[in-house]
Amino acid sequence: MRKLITWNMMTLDGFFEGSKKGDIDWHRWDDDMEKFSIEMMSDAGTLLFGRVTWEMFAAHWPTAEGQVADLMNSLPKVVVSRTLDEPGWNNAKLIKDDVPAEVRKLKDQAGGNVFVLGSADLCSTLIDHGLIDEYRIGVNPVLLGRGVPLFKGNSRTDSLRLLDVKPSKSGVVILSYAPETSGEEGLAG
Amino acid sequence: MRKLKTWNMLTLDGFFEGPKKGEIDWFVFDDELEKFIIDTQMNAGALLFGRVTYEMMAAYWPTAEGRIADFMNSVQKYAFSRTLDRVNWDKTTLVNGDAVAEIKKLKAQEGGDIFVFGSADFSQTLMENRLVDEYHFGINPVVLGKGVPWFKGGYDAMGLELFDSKTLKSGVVLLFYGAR
Repeated sequence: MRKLITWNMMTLDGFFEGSKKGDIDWHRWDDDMEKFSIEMMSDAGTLLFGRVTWEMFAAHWPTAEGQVADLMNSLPKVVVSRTLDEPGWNNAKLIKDDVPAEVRKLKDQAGGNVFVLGSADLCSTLIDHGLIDEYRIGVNPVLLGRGVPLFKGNSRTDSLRLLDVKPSKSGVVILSYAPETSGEEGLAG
Repeated sequence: MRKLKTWNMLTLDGFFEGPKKGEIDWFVFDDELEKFIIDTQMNAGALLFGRVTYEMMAAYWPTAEGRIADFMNSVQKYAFSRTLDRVNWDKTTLVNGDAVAEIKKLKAQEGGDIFVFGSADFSQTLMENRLVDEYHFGINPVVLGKGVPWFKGGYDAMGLELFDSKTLKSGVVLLFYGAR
């Protein structure tokens, strides 16, 4: 079964978007981060999105250039939405309901790992159904003060196992964790 | 000018306490972390506290034992509060006037680093007045779901400079940032 990995850029004070919708001006990006993105996208078999992130990405990537753009546009993509009629981006399909079952089917398929980018609301659902195998967070050296928090809060405490730490020259530190309940071997003993 | 540094253990979702107030069961505190604290914090010349953290610390450290306890009890401390009448912890001065002015005076004096532990509300004031020189965090491998956040928000956006990071065997990741 392939892994489902979530990837997000986050400010040190916990936001993944500024207070203006889609505000990601604060993202620290450099050669290290570009290299890391390419490695990540090359490892991916499928990209999975919630509607809000999907709409932002589908408006940006089709006309963007470069290696990351080529990967984003050509990879098989899946968007979870009750309201969209059709995906509207190359090589994409729609999941309208039965989300946990459909995502399990996706994970059962052969191929590269399933990556979820942004999509905080979808991630809440995936967390509730124990479908996430790895959380990857790029902690940016920024205090934003206001915006949309990455962690939406819930009644459950989740212990994690640290898998990897990757600092980049830009000051972004990429932290990778597996939920304690997974079989993943961590960095900690 | 002396540097003012904050040190906090945080969950991945940004809490420094929780789920209930005062609860820190999830802290992963081992020999490696203790050594790091001894190496980097025990040259401190002063500790500053907001009232809530002060009360918790003053209730715990006086009867604790060990090198860190000796340090906590003997270092010069300042408790910032408009509501406390007096402070009973050894080597503690109560500050109930203009916190920002007092801290600027302290920073202008000669002496070791000034550290702030916990004290989320008080730290908010420090951040808003650009008095923090370094932020030190121990990110614990846990998502708590709810608790007391250290960052209260509302301040203007600030870029920081990551100047070091260290991974501990326990899974705690130490991150060190300087103010720009």
